[in-house]
Amino acid sequence: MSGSISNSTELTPVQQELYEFIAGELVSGEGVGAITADEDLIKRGIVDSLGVQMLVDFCESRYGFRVADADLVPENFQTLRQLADYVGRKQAEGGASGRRGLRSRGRR
Amino acid sequence: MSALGLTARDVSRHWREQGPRAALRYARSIVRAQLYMESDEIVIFKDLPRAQTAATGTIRLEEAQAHHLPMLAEFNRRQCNATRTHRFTTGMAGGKRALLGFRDDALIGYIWWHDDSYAANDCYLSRFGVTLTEGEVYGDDLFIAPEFRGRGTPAAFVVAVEAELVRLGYRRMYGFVDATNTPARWLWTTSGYQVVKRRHTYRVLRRFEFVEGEGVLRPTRALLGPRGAIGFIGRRD
Repeated sequence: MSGSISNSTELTPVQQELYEFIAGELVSGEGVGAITADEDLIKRGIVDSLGVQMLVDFCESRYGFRVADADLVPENFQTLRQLADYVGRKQAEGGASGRRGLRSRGRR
Repeated sequence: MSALGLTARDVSRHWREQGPRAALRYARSIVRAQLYMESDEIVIFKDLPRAQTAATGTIRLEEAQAHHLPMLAEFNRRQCNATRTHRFTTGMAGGKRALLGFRDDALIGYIWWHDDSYAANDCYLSRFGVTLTEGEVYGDDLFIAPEFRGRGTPAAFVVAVEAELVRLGYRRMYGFVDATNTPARWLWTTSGYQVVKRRHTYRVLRRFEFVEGEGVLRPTRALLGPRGAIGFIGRRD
């Protein structure tokens, strides 16, 4: 349901995926208007305590890495650009360590 | 009623109101917690701002009093958690204090807290080597009803609580959160709370605790006390 948000131009593929998830799952039907790559998602109330849980779950399942507790900071989730950059960094760190992290998280 | 009786009642309510699967999930979590628990514990703190800038008009606070108990019992019954009502009764009798949050006239949640005058009784922070001093409080259990989570309500509640504590003359609040409780971690992080200390613990039979890095397996009476839970906001039960 991306109709509730006007898409921004020039989003990278990862930004576009994240945008579509946010539009479809976090703000569906709320008509929050346009989101640009540098828009503050926290100030707009899109990434709140529940929204961040959904984003974490999405990133972990879609991109195959574990969002560590230390990564749970506004600097990684504040804008589409920061979120996509964070995803890129985690992917660059390597899938193997990410899968190990996911398994260890599942034990708890 | 005994703790076992209260738990049985909660399981029964889960069964009636949410179905057998929810009841079994709840019972399993209770049994598992009694036998073995592994957790990433984080102590956080914030120096309370002297003047709050955020709007708190949508949240009204009341200090929990005896006359609130029927309302709290009904509130906890909706969460299928009679144990919390029991803890309110015994906690208030023991001198702990709680702030109740209301939006319009609906109770949305609460936070337990105490200052250094109560800390000697049983302060979870002491396990982390943190000692409350004058002007400091420990918020040891924040709970927001699931229907009020999101949309900035928990954050507004925290702001309102901070403003009330400042009004009462306090300058710093400590809290406790489980690292795996993402919503709670996010709430406290975005509310400006910083990590004081963290540790990874393994608990067996709620009597013995092994702390990673400290290398000790020790019996701990305090495990039978407050179940350090400022992160209840994020629990999915």
